[in-house]
Amino acid sequence: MAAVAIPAGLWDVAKTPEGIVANWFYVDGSKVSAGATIAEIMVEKATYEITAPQAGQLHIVVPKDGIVQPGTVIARVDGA
Amino acid sequence: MRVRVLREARAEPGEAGLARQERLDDVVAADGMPALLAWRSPPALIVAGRDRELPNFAEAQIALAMDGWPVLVRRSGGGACPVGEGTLQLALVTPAVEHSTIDRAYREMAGIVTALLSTYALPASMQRIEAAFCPGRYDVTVRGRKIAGLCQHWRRCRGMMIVTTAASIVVDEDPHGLCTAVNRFYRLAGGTRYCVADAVTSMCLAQPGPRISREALVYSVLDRLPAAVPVGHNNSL
Repeated sequence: MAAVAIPAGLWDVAKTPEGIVANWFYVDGSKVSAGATIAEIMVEKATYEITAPQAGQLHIVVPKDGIVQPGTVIARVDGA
Repeated sequence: MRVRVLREARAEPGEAGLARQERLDDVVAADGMPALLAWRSPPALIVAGRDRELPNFAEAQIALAMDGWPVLVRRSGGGACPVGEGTLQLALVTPAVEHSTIDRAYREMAGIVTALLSTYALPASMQRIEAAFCPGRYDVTVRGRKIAGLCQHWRRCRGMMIVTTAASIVVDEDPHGLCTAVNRFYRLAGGTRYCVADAVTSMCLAQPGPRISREALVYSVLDRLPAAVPVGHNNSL
């Protein structure tokens, strides 16, 4: 199972402690393709598209509007 | 950093400008060379995706369009940003590299905007002005008033992450008109954001010396833009 995480160091948490999951483009349990844009996070007027690291079933960990930081695992993709 | 500078002097519909900006992702991803695009449009409200979730967004969109303020949706975050023929839209499109961060990309664009403003003797700095429209930490201010707003979008294209940092510079527009459009949108759409004109300024209002026409000032800014980019060469669209 592959983790879907916010890239480490994407923003300076000393200046902006938190971002949010702005959108999920698939519902929990969906089949996703490797490289598909599955979510979008937003922090400090910046949006960042999150892609699936591998094909498989999506398991959402942080829902829409949930708080995130660099390194937060927002979902897992089960390639089985 | 070698950057291609693309300047569209004629005002074109906002949809066309946004589309041109978004197409640059593919151009930059294809050859790896960053691009700085400058464009402007007739009056429009460019809102963020989250604004579409407001309860009466569709009704507000119709009403604002009838008022001469078409509502367009951009990919980046933030709030409603009013644009017009007296505002200049910049988009710095670059491939993300190992040390790329949201903050670094903002500072890069803010550096270009402040360098540009300094050629007009305008003392600019980065500061969040809460009472301005679309406030943000990396907005550019002159004497405590917002003069340029910044926002950003990261997207995967051709296997690489492309960063678009946009700036909207108020060159010569009435802050009252800009804020009235924004406040009307949020009131009709069911939002709570509110801005005040005193929190916003323009290059025309802030600049010392005799006033020149809007078109002359815009063309002057476009002419000086390439020199504000750390390293670049020029192409006009």
